[in-house]
Formats: sequence, C-alpha cells, structure tokens
Amino acid sequence: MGFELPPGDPDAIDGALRSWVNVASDLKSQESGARSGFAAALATWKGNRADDFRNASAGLQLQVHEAQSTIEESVGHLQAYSKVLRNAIEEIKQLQSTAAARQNSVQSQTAKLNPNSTQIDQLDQHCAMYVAALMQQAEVLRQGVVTAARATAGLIDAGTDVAVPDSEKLSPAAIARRVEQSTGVAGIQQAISGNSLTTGQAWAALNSATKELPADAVNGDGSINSAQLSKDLTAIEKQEADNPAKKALDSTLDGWTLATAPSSSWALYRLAEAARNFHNATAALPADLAKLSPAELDTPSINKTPNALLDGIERDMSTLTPADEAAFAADADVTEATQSLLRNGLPFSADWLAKGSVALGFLGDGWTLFDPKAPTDDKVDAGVNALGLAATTETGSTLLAGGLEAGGLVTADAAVGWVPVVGWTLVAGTAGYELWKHRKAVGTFVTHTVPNFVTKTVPHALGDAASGVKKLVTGDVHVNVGPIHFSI
Amino acid sequence: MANVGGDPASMTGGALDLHRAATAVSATQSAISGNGGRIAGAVGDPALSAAMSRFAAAWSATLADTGTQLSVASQLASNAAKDLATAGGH
Repeated sequence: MGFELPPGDPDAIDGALRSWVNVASDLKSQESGARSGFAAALATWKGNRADDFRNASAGLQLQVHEAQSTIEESVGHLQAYSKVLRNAIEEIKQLQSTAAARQNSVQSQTAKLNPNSTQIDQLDQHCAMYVAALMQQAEVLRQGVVTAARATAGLIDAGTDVAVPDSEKLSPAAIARRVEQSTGVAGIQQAISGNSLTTGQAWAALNSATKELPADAVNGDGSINSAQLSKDLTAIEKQEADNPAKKALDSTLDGWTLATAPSSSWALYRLAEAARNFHNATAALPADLAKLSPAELDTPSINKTPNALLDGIERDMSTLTPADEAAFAADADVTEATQSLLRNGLPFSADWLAKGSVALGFLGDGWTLFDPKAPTDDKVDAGVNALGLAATTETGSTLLAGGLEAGGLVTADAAVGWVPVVGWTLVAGTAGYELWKHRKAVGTFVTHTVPNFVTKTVPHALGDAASGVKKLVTGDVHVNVGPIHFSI
Repeated sequence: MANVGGDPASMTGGALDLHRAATAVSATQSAISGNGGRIAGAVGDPALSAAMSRFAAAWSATLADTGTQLSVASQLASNAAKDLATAGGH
C-alpha cells in the first residue's frame, strides 16, 4: 500500500528491447540470406535429393520467418508493458510528492495556530483523508501494472507456443527438450564439429524441415508459396468441417486462431495438418499396422539381437509383481495387431519385433502414465500418443472428439511429430523394450483396460496441458484477429 | 538414374551462402538467450518474467537447431556439387 512503486525497471526493459529489435532485424537478413542460398543451390540441381532439399529449404525458411515475426511482435507487446510500468512509476512518485506537499502545508498552517485550537484536528483529518485518496490512486496504478503484466505474459506465451505448442506449464529446460525432440537434430552439431557427419545423418537432420509444409506450397527455388499454402489450409478446414467427429477440433482451432496473432497462423497450419493426419491415420491404424515394414519404423533403442532380447524377456518376466497386474482393469477392444501379437506369443523375428513395438508403444505409454516415477513431461507425451492409438478402438474413437477438444492433445502431438505415424515411431523407439519387461501385466491391460484408460487416465494426465491451452483461448488475453492471412 | 544433375559452381555458391546464414542464425540464438534473460529480469512481474524465460528458451533452442540444419544443408549442397563435378556436371 502507500506509495510503494511497482517492481520492474522500464529503463532496463527499453534498453534490452533495443537489442531485441536488432535481433528481429538480423533474422530478417538471415532469412533473406538463406532464401538466396537455397535458390542458388537449387537453380540447376535436379533429382530426388534436389526435391528433398527444396522441401527442407522452405521448412527452414519458415522456421527463421516464424522466429523473426514472433520476436518482432513481442517487441510491441513488451514496449506497451514498459510504458504502462513507466507511467505508473512516474504517477505514483507524483502522487507521493503531492501528498508530501499537502502534509508540509498542513504542518505549516497548524504550527501557526493555538495548540488548543480545534482547527488543528480538522486540518489533520482532512489531510489524512486527502493522502489516503492519493494512496488509493497509487494502488489502482499498481494493479494496472499487474493486469498489463498478465496480459503481456499471455501474448508472450502465445509467441512461445508457435515454437513449442502448449508450453505454459513447461520449464525452459523442458521447452528446449521439446524443440530438440521435434527438430530431431540432437548430436548433429557435434558430428559437424567433429567432421564425422555422414550423408545419412545429414539427410535425417533435415527431415523435420522437409515436413514443415506440403510439397505443393514450395516454389521451385525452395521459397514458400504463400497463396498455395493458404488454399491448402482452407481445404483442410473444409475437410474438418464436414466430419461431425472433427467439430471439437474445429472449435479448438477457432479458439487457437482467436488467441494467436496473424503471423502465428504458420503454427495453426501445422496444427491443422497434424490434426488432419491424426484423424486419417487413427482411422486406418489396424490396416496400416499390418502394412508397416521395419524399414519405416525406428527400431527400439536396444543393441540386442532378437534371440538375446527374447532371453532377456524370459528372465524379466519373473520380476512381475501383483501390483503390476492390479494396476489395470476393465474390458476393451484392441487393435488386431496387438491381439495377434499376444496370440502368437513373443516375436521370433526382427520384423515382428518392429511391428509389435509400434503396438507396444501404445502399451508403453500406458505404463509410463501409471509409473509413479515417470516425469510429468513424459506422462503428458505418453498420454497424447496413447490416445491416438486408443482412438482406433470402438470405445476410444467415440471419445476422440472429447479428447481433442482439450486442445492440448493436438498441440502436444504437433510437438512430437506432426505426422502421427512419425510420432508413433518415436514412441516405439523409446517405449518398446520397457514394455517387454512387463508383458504379462501389459497383456491384461490390453485386453481389459482401454476404455478405462481413455476415459480417466489420459484426460487426467493431460489435464494440465489442456487447461494451459484453454486458458490461452478463454482467458484474459484477447487479440483482434480476422481470417487467417499468410504473408512473407 | 534419370534426370539428375546440376551446375557445381552455382551449387557451391549456394552452399557458401547457406554456411554464412547458418553462422549468423547461430549467433542470433545466443542474442535471444541473453536479451531474453535481461528482459525477464527487468519486467518485475513474476508471471511475465517466467513467460519471457520460456519464450527465450523456445526461440533460442529453435534457432540453434535451425542453424545446425542450415549448416547441414550447406554441407549437403557442397557435397552434391563435388559429386556432380566428379561425374561431369549436367
């Protein structure tokens, strides 16, 4: 209370923002440099690898553009906040000065009066009331700074979500991990520095960039065809609108559109595309699983031959406890691949191991969710992936709309890999072996647990992620946004 | 192998431009991290400070990876140019 100043240093903010403006300007030059570099490399290059390079070019230019436009926007938001803070500080100082002047004046007046005069009390009371009113004005100014700070934080979070969807509950370190997960370039810089980068590693490192945009939205010189991209997004939204099961997604996307600034529509496009593929792929999962070849899947991250793996599984099955089995309950449908896996017992070939690990990736997610030692970030990722696979069950599919409506599910999936099958391969690669260690409990889970899992466990595990996005959509942050516009 | 080819000279030029862009982008990610921290420390409000820290982490990490990918692209274009030069270009 009183004339306490709000915390913050507007001079320091403005100083840092001058550098921030330079960052945005530098990124614009870098985007232009990258565009001309790619155009020169692609001017005469022909062949399949040239096409891959072209698609990656557009994806990388998009990444730089998103960074540049998001940072540029943040400058405006922060400048506005700095102004509110500075004005509040100056006005509160002025109020304090006015109060002090009044108090001094009253002191001078009362000093001239007879000490017994009743006028003294009157002057003192009026002065106190006057100063109290000024203090109240100071409090209003401080609250105005808090309100501005929260609104600005929401806008800044919207900018963060362009890079890492649904990031509000994540620590900076977790955010950096999510970025690494989505770009897939971990270890590449070290390989470059050590002069040990292989051609295979190099092309794999560009994989995420290759998938940023649809091929028809990439020009011959590797730049982005914004008109075509706009058409593609419109087509996606029309597709979504025709399907009742996707109405929940529409409202989420609409909410996302309302909550993000126009240049963040790049992220919206990726979100919409991820959702479209998510719908299509989950509907076709059983058939797709049967068709997947090991070459299309990441193999589990274990260095064992199939026979050595089977020996280990036999030994590990003895570690199952009653608590493992008690963790699961209820009836469920299962994918044909999973049922077949269980009927056939343990896989006897690398081929089956690879296919089975995709289905078991789903089960691995369930295990992660139940495991009290699993970190929250892992549980959220596990829940998203598991919901995608659970949606193929008869019970799960009816819950898909509700699940997607939570919003954070789709954005989190976009962070893992915007093509759902890619996301599942990540799951398979990371979760498959752990699942084999608890195969018996997992089998019970698969045959008895899926609806329970989908209706209770997944929404609970994803509750934080969902409320994070919902807060962005329905909270205090309002941005005037019309239809989606693409501009480069 | 149908329709594979290119001009090694223009591809090498493009590779050099990409290398410069990669270096510049990598330098920018450090600036984002540093300035983001300064802003986070100066705003005064804990929620806004935390939001700024997340923002700086996200874009710093994204541009670090983008810089790496641009380096990779530069190397791939350069290698492809060398392969074509060895094979005789167009």
